[in-house]
Amino acid sequence: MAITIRDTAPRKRNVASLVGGYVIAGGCFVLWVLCASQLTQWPPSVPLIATGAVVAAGIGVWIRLADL
Amino acid sequence: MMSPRQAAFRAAYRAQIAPAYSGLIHVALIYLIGGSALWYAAQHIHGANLAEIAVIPVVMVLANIFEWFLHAKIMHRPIPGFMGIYNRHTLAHHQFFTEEAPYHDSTRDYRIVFFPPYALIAFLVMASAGGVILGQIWSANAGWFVVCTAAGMYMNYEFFHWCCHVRDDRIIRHLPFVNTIRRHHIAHHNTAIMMNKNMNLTYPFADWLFGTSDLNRGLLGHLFNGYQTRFIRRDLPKLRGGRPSALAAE
Repeated sequence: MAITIRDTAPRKRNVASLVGGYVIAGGCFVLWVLCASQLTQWPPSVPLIATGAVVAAGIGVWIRLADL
Repeated sequence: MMSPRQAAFRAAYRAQIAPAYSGLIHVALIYLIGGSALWYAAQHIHGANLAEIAVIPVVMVLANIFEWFLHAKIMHRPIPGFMGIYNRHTLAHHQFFTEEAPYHDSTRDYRIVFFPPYALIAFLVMASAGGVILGQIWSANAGWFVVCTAAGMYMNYEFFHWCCHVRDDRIIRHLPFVNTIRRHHIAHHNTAIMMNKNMNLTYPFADWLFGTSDLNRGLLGHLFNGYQTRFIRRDLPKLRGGRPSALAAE
């Protein structure tokens, strides 16, 4: 079994980026739904809402990975 | 000229930036969120009268004072509950950028130039709450103008702050307002005055209003000062062994 020796401690992410990830994902989802409803109709279609959820989740995950 | 201490801080800070971080995505997110909020709010404004349009300059002034307050009383004060903001700004941003070396080198440095996007979400939520209240007690158009103007001022703030930390060139030094805030903000990075002077980052209105500017001149002079240094107050604290400002050196 191969052993990996780290010469530096693994980088720890800040808890702020975890909270921030959720906040930004939530905010982006709300904005997406509002803008989509403005461009189409209220309520927006299920595919539009699902796409918004995927985009918002992607942004939230990136915020966490980028530790922003 | 960058001091060895500043160079060491920059190297340590950059080593801590996550590999997944991208400065361009960071900026794109800020302007997509801010632009979407502004566009959505603007779609709801119909047949605004003069009184409703007057909400725009009023919110601009209030946002300017809020920006001054946040910078002077939160970002530069170690207040329990807000220590993360103090650490990020006073201890990190002000070590990364000094008056002698205030410029960023790459888009990865945007990590310490721009606010995290959740600050924009928090600001939009506060502005929306104000917009809802104004919409209920007076006019829906006025409420939507609050959201539009607040979103615009936030993006204005981020753009001007970025302009303060880009390298000088023959174009940027002649842009009205931008050249003013560049000199104003780079002077603020002087550690001798950073805790008390030059707290605005868009237009130095609140600094003029509250007497926290390093300039000794009127409001119009403050707004259109550009790179001029002849109006700088003589009674400012001096940094021992201080080096010249990056702008003065150029």
